Amino acid sequence: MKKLLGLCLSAILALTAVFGATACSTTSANDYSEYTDDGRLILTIWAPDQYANATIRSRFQAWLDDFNETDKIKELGVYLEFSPFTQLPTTLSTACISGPHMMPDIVIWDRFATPSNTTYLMPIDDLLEEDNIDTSVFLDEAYDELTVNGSQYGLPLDADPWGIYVNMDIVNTYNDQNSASAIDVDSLDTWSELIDAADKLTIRDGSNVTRSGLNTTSADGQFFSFVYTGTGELIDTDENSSAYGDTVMSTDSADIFTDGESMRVYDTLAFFKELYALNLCNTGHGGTDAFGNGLLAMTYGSIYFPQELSSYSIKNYKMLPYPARDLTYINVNTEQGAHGESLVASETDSTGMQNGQVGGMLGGYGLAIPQPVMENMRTDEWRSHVEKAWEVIKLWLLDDEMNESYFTANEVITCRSDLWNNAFYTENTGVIGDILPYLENYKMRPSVAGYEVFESSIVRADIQMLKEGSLTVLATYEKIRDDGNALLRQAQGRS
Amino acid sequence: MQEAQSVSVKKKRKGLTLKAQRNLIGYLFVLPALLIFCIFVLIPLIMSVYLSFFESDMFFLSMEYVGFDNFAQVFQDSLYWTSILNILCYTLMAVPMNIILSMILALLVNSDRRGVKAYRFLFYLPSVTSTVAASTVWLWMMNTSYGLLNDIFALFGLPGGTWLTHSSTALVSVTLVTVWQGVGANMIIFVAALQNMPTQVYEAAKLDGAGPLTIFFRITFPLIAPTMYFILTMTLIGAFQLYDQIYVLTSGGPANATLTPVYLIWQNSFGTNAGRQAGYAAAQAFVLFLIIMIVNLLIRRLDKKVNG
Amino acid sequence: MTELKANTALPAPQDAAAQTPAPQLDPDAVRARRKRKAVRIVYLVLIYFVMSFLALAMVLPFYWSLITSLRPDSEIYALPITWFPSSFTIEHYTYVFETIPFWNMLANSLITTLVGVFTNLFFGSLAAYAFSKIRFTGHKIIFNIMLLSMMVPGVITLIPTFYVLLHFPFAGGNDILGNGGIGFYDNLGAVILPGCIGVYGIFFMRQFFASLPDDLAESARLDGANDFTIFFRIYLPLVIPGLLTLGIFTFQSGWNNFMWPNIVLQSPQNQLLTMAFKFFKTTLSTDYGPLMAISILMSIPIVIIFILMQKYFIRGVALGGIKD
Repeated sequence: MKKLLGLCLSAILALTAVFGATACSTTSANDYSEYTDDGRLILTIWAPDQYANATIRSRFQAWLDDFNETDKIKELGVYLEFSPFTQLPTTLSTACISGPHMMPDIVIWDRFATPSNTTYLMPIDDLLEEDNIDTSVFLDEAYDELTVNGSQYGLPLDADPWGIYVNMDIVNTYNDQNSASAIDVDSLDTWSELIDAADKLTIRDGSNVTRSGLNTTSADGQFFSFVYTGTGELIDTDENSSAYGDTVMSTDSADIFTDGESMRVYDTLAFFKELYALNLCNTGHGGTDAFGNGLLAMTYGSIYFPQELSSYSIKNYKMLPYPARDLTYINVNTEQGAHGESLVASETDSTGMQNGQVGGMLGGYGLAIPQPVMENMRTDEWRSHVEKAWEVIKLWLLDDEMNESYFTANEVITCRSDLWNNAFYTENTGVIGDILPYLENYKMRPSVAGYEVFESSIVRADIQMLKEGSLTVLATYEKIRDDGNALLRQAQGRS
Repeated sequence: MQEAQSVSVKKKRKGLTLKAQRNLIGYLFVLPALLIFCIFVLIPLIMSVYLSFFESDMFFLSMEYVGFDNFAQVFQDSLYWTSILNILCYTLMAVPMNIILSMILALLVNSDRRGVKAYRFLFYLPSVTSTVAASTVWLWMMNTSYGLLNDIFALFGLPGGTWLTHSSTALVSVTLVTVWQGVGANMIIFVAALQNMPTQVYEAAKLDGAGPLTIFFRITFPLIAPTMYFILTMTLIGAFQLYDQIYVLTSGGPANATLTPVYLIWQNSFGTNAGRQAGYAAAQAFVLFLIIMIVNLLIRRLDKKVNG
Repeated sequence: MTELKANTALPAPQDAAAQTPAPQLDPDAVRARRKRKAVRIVYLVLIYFVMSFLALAMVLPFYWSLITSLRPDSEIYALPITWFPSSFTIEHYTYVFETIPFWNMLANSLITTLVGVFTNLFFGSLAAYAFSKIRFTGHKIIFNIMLLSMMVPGVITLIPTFYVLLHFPFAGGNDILGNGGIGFYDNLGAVILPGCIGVYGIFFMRQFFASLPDDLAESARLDGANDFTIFFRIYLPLVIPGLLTLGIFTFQSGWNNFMWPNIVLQSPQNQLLTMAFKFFKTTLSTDYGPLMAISILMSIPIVIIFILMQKYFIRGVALGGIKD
């Protein structure tokens, strides 16, 4: 018996030794701070998966190395390290339950995911008040995206407008050959002009598209932008309204299109259907590689897109803002047009607007400070880290020189709209110069709990079905509305 | 006699009755297993039942009792039922395909012909690589512009397939990947069963002039039916847990055509948008459990009919 | 594989037919024999053709990923695609080694898998022996509860298991109540512990022990051997085929493990090899060169093990099927 016990125990011990050794060596909620050789406190920054892209990553790292060498950072006594994560919110949430030693000190946070994740982001209202920060220098739209229920969960870092990227080599070649019907990319002002240009740039071999005119494989993700170019709303964000967080697409089928908002959503879907029907895009041309290799003339992308393109052969391209809605597919008076699916386009109220005047979708990141979910883990040591992290954020964003160094090095647009007069922005000949004049018209996505899932699971899936022809425009509209409302209600804990 | 003697010896040594001593030893032997079972199966299961009646985050922190609301919600959740429908379709495609193909492979390699060993090795090779590695490889094979599959199609003058990019072909494509990876292991099991067949039966059938097809359906098949049942249950259980391939290949898209219950529940538990969905995810998992039980009972009934 | 053949006393059916002695010189019979021979050859050619076709289908993806991992990006994304690379590069492999802590991940995968195999075999057969041979009070009910739990899909316990591991007493800075630290979060223990003694293994091994007679141990018992010695010296050697099988199953599932490690392992140096692909496939871009390189690197160790242990592998899988 003794032998048996002994053997059992030693086996268990051996087992524990294998993984227990590492388990016990990890530090607890206190005494986890690490310092550099010159005595600076190491602060960690976590970034979302976009920063895992080789180009973006190396640029950011290069800037961080410079930043670490500046006198101001040295004065603060901190040293910054960074790592990107493919599923940042998931990883961050598990880290924040685990305690400060597992957590980053600063997180580069995808702003639009803020409403569902406030449990582990620290409200910075007190810090803002203490230091008397003038928050009006930030682009309002971006700043508000980090506000949930009146609390501020971070400061906006960059303004990330989406737009249409055009391969200018393809356009120029086309124009040389077809001078009569040349495309002027600077005046692609309306939906119909966009359709027209896309069709011209498409090369087909029978029904097989060999060069795609416009990327329609990912147009589903552009839904919000196009709804917005119809100057419409998608979700009720009025916190005082009883319908807060619902889609504004009317729920009463009798008067489905009598209000202007839902009409625009319907029009966007019909416009997408039109794009799909024209067979503008080969299913294999949805990726960055297709645009980078000249197989795709126009695609959608954010301000970070050029960095993703840097490893491809394409060099001559331009970024355009979204065109304005000039088509409506509903004849409000007869209702026949909508329900009969005949999709006859007619002119709308926004005809005559120029591209970009109607805005588009604005994304972007913010800098936030994560907090341990458990109150008892918010130790003094963690608080001292927070103080330093806050100083770093202020330095990074509010110090004009630092702010400019970050955005110059990474070639993106700051949310400090007061800095847009600087030479880096005004004299920019790249995509930043292309898009900056239109930025004030851009809108963020609705800041409502559950919106991310609504966009990624429902809108994307339903538009895919519209594209494949298994749903009519009206059915898609109704499905997005019904499934969307069910999901949004659940995400907000209402039934 | 001997027993009694040994008992008396032990009694003297330990001062315990035989029964008590057996119990002590027995429990000592199962203790590690029992501990692990309680900590990682039983207790979590009970916690999960508890969780399914709450609206909660994944940390059991801000919990709000909602009664049966979560379950009611499951039955109204179209996304959930889409995923159930998907997994049923997948099972109906993948399981028969897997079993039939592995049966054919087994019949092919069940001989002493020259080189058969090498073929057996090649057929089994996909089964040893990890699902994640195999799926990444197939993701590239099925790429619609640079993928090898469409190029092979083009060689035969066929139009390129949409594979994972269209909702009507995505689930079939996933099925292809899992079948490609799964047939090897099942083939080996079938081969073993075939080699254990009694020789005389075959010889008698041959003498009676039975053709190969008759032999297969009248003799081989009934004899390997128990093995078939084993493979069927194992493949079925595996099929219902489909997750890794979905994670790598499609993330549940396009148009939720490949969304599986396990993937959906994982998304609600730990995915990017988990939030306060933990209780709801637990309820979804229990409904899935119910469905798996029903399917299992059906299969068992089928087995009773075939194997008696 | 040789073992399998040894079991089969029978030659394949068609060979049996061919061996029938018929030394007649009747020309009709000769013609018939020739015809039979021709049919057999056609049949064989057909069989080999089908087998080769299927084998090609099995191997082609490996070939394609290998050459993709060895050609430069410009060639990967070039149309029309070419079946043979015209230039070789190892840039994707160097990129993989630069980006991920490959050796850490490989070691982690091996540790979790091997420890899992050891614990499952050892503790699993210990419990299985007790369930089938010791028959202590309540063994039936405990075993049945365990069996029932096999029906439960793993996703049900995802969230609670995470909670349990996080609040594991004394682990990762936790106090006795499981508070204050991170438990086994971001630690290989979180992957090893929940799977270290599987119910399936116990169930599987119990069948092997059950098929052995009870009185094997009597003489040893008379000599005063204790139960552990009896288990270890007498019964365990007799179930080695079963252990081998279970070992292979556990190894494969451990090596394949993805979902749970993906939840609990956070730092790259603590992750498993199965998670490595995430570094090259994000929501925004998929880098096929490095992706194929990592799939090849992921497959090499297991294929080497497979080739070395081919005999046991195939016998093991086969045994698993028969026994149940």
